[in-house]
Amino acid sequence: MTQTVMEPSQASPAKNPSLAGDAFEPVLIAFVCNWCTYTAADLAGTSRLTYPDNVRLVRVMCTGMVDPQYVIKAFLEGADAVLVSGCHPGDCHYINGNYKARRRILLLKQILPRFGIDAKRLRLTWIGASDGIEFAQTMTRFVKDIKEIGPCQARLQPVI
Amino acid sequence: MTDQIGKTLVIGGGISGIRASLDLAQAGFQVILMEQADRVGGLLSQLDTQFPTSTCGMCRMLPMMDRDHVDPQCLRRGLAHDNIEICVSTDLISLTGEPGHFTVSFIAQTDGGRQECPVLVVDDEKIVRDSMKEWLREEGYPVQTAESAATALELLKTGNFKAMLTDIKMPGMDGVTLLTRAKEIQPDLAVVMMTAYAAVDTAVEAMKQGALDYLVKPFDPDAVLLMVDRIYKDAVAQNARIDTVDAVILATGATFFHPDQGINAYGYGRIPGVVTNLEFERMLSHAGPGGMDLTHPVTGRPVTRIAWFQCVGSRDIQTGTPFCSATCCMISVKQSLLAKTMYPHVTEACVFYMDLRTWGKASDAYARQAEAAGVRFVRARVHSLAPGLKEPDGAIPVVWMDPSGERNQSLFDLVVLAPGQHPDAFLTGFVKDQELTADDWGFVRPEPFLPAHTSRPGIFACGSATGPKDIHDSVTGATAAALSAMQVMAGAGRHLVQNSEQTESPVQQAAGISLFPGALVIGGGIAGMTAALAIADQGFEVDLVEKTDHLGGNLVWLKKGIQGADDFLEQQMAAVQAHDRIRIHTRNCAAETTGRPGRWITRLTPVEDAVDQSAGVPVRHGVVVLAVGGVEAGPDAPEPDQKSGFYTQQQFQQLLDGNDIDSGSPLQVALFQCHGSREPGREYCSRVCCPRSLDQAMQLKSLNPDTRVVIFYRDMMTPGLTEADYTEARKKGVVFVPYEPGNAPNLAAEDTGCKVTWTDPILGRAMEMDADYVILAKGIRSGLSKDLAHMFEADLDGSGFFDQADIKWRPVEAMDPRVLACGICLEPGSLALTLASARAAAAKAVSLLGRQTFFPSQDTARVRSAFCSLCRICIDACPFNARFIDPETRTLKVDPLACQGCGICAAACPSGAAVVAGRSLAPMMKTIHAALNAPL
Amino acid sequence: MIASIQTKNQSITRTLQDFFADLLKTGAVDAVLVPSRISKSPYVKPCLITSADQMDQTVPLGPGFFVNAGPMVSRLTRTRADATIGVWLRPCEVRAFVELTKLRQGGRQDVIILSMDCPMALSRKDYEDWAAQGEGGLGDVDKWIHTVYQKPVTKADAWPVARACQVCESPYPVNADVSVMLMGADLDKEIPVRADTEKGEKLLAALDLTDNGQEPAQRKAMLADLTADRTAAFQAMDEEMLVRTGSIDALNRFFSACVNCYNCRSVCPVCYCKECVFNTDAVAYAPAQYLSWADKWGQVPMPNDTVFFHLTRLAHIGCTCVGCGQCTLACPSQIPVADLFISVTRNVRKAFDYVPGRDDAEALPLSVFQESEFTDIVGMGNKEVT
Repeated sequence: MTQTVMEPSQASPAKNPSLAGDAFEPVLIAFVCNWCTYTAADLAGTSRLTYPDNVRLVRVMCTGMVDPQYVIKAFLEGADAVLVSGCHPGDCHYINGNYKARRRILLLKQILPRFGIDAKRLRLTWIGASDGIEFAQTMTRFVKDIKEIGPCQARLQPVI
Repeated sequence: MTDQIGKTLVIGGGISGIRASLDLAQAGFQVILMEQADRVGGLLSQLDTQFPTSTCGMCRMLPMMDRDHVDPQCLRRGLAHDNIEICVSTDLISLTGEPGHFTVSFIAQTDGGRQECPVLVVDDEKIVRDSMKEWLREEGYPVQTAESAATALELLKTGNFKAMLTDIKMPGMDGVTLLTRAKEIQPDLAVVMMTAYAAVDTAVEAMKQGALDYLVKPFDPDAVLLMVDRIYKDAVAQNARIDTVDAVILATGATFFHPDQGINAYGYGRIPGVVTNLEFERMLSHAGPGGMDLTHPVTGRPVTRIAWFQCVGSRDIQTGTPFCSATCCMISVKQSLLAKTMYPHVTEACVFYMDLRTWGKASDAYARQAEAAGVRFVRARVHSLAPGLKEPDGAIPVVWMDPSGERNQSLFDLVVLAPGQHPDAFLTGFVKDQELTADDWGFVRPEPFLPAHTSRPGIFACGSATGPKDIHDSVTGATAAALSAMQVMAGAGRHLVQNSEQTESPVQQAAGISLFPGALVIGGGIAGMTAALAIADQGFEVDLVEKTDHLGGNLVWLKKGIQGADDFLEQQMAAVQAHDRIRIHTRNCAAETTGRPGRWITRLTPVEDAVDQSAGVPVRHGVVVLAVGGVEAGPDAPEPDQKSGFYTQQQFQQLLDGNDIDSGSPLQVALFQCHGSREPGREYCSRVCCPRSLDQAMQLKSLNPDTRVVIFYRDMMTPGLTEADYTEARKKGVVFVPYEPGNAPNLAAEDTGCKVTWTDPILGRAMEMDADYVILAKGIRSGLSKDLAHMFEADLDGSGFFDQADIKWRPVEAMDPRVLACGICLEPGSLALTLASARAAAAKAVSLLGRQTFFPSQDTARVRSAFCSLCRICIDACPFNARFIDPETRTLKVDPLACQGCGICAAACPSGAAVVAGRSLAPMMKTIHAALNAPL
Repeated sequence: MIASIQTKNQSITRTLQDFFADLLKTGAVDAVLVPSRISKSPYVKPCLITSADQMDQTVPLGPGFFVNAGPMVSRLTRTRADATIGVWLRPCEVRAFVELTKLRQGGRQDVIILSMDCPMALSRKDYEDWAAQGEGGLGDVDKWIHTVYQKPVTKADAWPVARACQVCESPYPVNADVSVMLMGADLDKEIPVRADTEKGEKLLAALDLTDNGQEPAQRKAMLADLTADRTAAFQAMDEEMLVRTGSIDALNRFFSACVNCYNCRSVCPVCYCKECVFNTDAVAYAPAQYLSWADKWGQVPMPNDTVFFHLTRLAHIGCTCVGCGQCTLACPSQIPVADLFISVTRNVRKAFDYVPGRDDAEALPLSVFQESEFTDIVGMGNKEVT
């Protein structure tokens, strides 16, 4: 499907210092499950595995509690990307919240790209409690990908 | 007041210890959870995933109610509960007393612990010095070594040693002289003499001169550690903390066999690429040395060919471990399945086994899943390994004989050893100090028919301390042990912790749920009776329903086949009948139930009147225990009858019990295992048939030693200590013939008896036998009906047994914690397991009924009825069935006991009517705003 | 069973009015819900009629469609009615009702759904012009009927039908109890009526109708042609929407006239919430919050959350939008809301292989899941779903 992306009519990089010049520093919101990815992030921290500080963790009890509205709001408020990360299939502390999250992400992936929010900006991953390395690698890779894509339009201008 | 609150000491912070502690804490008692290591979690903190789910669900052990008292976090990050005092890095110094009043002293290792107990090892042999140093350092002792008495004396002048272990015979000054000189320098030094067996007299002589004790070479590491532990404990005793507890639960687990001990036939530590399964588990883990990939520990290259060797240091007379370690087969199945499916570069995953012990209701299907994924299972025990010097990339050549004696060889990059388990030094010492009855191998021997009881009243045991156990059996056993501790505390008149909910606001109180104060137990077999008695003994009313006209269930026919069971059954039946809190409803069944979970009104009707909707007695109950048992599986197709000598196990048992077998002249008997089991239609191992067949075989042999008994088997399922019976049967001359599905022995019924023909796997020759009896081991079918399960919003699993909330972590509960199950409608298993599950179910019931009223936790979901359209999307979304429409008010309500605060309802609700504190739209938008606007 | 109703006075309207009157007279139903004129104005609304002599103001088939009757049927069936109600619904109204039953806002027990090949609808402006041309304050309904059912068109009687109708891919009854097959029928002679359920059979039997009719020979082919036309029209609209809303900037412009009146939500048949989250404290921000936003970009338009509202609604009705076009009809700012919603939600439905209204037993996509599905949307390097 083709996407027509129009030039933004207004942008105020002055108010977004991290967008000035070449040094684009994306801001990513990661909704991470308390029981797995949050623990993995903790593990990454204690193992001194670094990941970019562009990632802002929002701890949730379960990916199943991530209302599509949270993701929409995060983008409209200027997130360059959103990650939702929960337990591997079968591993959900709340039995099946991750499966429900997967359908909600699929829903959002049908909607957001229609408005120029690249599907690559919304990711869903399963990162278990012991996957500290995977957590750090995923975050590093995600930030790198988003740096390549550039800032999300909604960060450059207010959305009505 | 405080001194009257019930308190239990749990020793060991592995999963058994955590489970028992949480059960007690949830019930409202205080717990001291003591662990030698620096964190709780035990072995499980090293396993990222477990079979048969290939995931980790450890956190599902956390309490479902009163969640404000527990930190909601992955147990790998730690455990925190208001009622549990967790003492990690802590050593037990002493334990004395009796039920209701034990005095325990213990010390934190950081607080004048083992670091304060330096040890000096003196020996002229380097290997002795080095291995002693390694063993002691592993346990946390600072160690120095000296190769001669002279060096030792120098060190003693500078260092402040608490203990010296010295060889007697050394060049230069001997050990006895060293003892005298050392005592001059440091009179309080504890000195232990080390000597060869031949020189024990000298050692005894040395003790007269002030030596504390002596050790005989070659050393058992455990004996060395016990000795040093003793010195350490004496040294620190005055600094220890002293506390009083009512009961003690021993949950210290077991330790692994070190494959480099003894002859080390597989070259562990010498051949690169030979690793233990625990080491492989780390390699498999993304947090392990290979990171995201599975790489060779030496070459760093991706691994392509992996072999697993079972029974290393188990089922092995040579290493003194004649028992089976129960879990290693499934660990290897899991590891091979994961390696094969996670890493495309793993082309060869091959498990070498003797019997693939996939016992229990879910394991066999899991093994077949591995087989379908391409894992190869080879029935062979590899004799030994030599390094593959000539092989490219250091590949290891593995040679084995197939059953026909043909030699096979393959190359592998990795060989994963599955070492057995055995009691650890702590357990050995504890058993000795507390004078507990242990079995021949050093595991605590439970009291007959009391699976968690040791021979010392008030001291209970669970987990692998009572013999190797998997997670499922450990968790069940731990909850059973918790019940035993609760019984002691109740007996001592102890109280529960005053819970803060009692001071909640009136609004929250209104939203609480009060359980009806009784239990309904369905099924009057030994499981139901055990559960009923345990619940009633704790002061709660019980209605016990049995559809037949008598109590006892399967134990009625089994009792003669199990030593002591006859009397035990009599006692239990008498106790149930005499109990003034138990109402027995024989010839009755549960016809229908109304009300909400926890406030059930179940109508009991006589079996013959079940169709009459109006008949029957309504019973109000807060919990339900399903204990309807099961039956020996019937024929799947028309089968020859007893005239041709065909019997099921149960029928044959009755024959044996009735002394109806004429064995004056030797008989020919074939026992046919897995008849209709572990194959489509009944894809599970019933766990009881192999032990029963062994028992029947031995009875036949004792009736007439010349009777020819042949057991046709696929895998002899004698996990854990039951392995001994298998060995015993072989000794008695019972013949074991393995078969695979597809080449099962042929049974041709004749007028009298049956001709059994098969191909001998070793000789490759056709064999036959004119059997007088053919005994078919058909396994167990669950007696639980869908209707009954659904009545309480529970369900059946794929095999027709009770569907547990989690097969490992919540083994006796449905998703709703008020719905419990035990016995063989829960899972097939021995009498011991049935009693354990019954006591575990009772523990859960008692814990719930004891609390009676449950208030919402802070994170319990709420409903803003003004916004609610009653669309029930949230009801569909809730994984815990916690939401319902109150028929009286036509509003949506939340059951605070079922709700887990996950917030899935809030995400599903489009109008914001479903809210979970701090997790709904408005606060979340603030969080998002703050996160986005935090400076980089 | 397919029955044939003889056309009376060469008027389909009259024939259907009599048909509804007969339903009441025979006691086959206790009430009917049929669009009817209000005080002789051109506007029609679904009316619940219990008197057989109140049929003359009903307009069973016409281009006026100002209320989706799906939610009205849900109101009539939220609890048991103790009556049987015959409801005369356009296909998109049936779809809406079916979705609402899945959302437990109603049930089928007390209704008999009669639906028809769709007469389509005009936009408000066109409808007023069309009505003004006829006599007695209403356009020539029978002429309209003859035009729409005789050849597959996207324009009827020279009037361009509403955009939602132009792109509607299922303008024929699905999941009704009785289907009235007008397309391609010889309407001067008869109206073929098919019973699709046991309830439908009973209803026709109560009117002494027998299995003597047949589906019009050309109907299937005509519907296929119509669907093909409409698929093409949808693609054109979809591309137009991508141009008009394919970036945040464009989206801002698209909704720039939106005054947050939420009319689109009020008329939406599948926006079923008793109270919308946008009416709750969830979006009641503190003054500091507004200032913080303004500070971030240098300005913040007020009222805000306009796009947030529309995107949320897209997420909420992504699977259930029935494409009736009411939102466009209701917009005071003439924003073609339906064009955008139909474009986007058709994508969503495709991803979940879900069709609203198709089947009562088909679960709402966000209420169910399978353990092994959509695995390609998980992970970092996998195929993108766009």
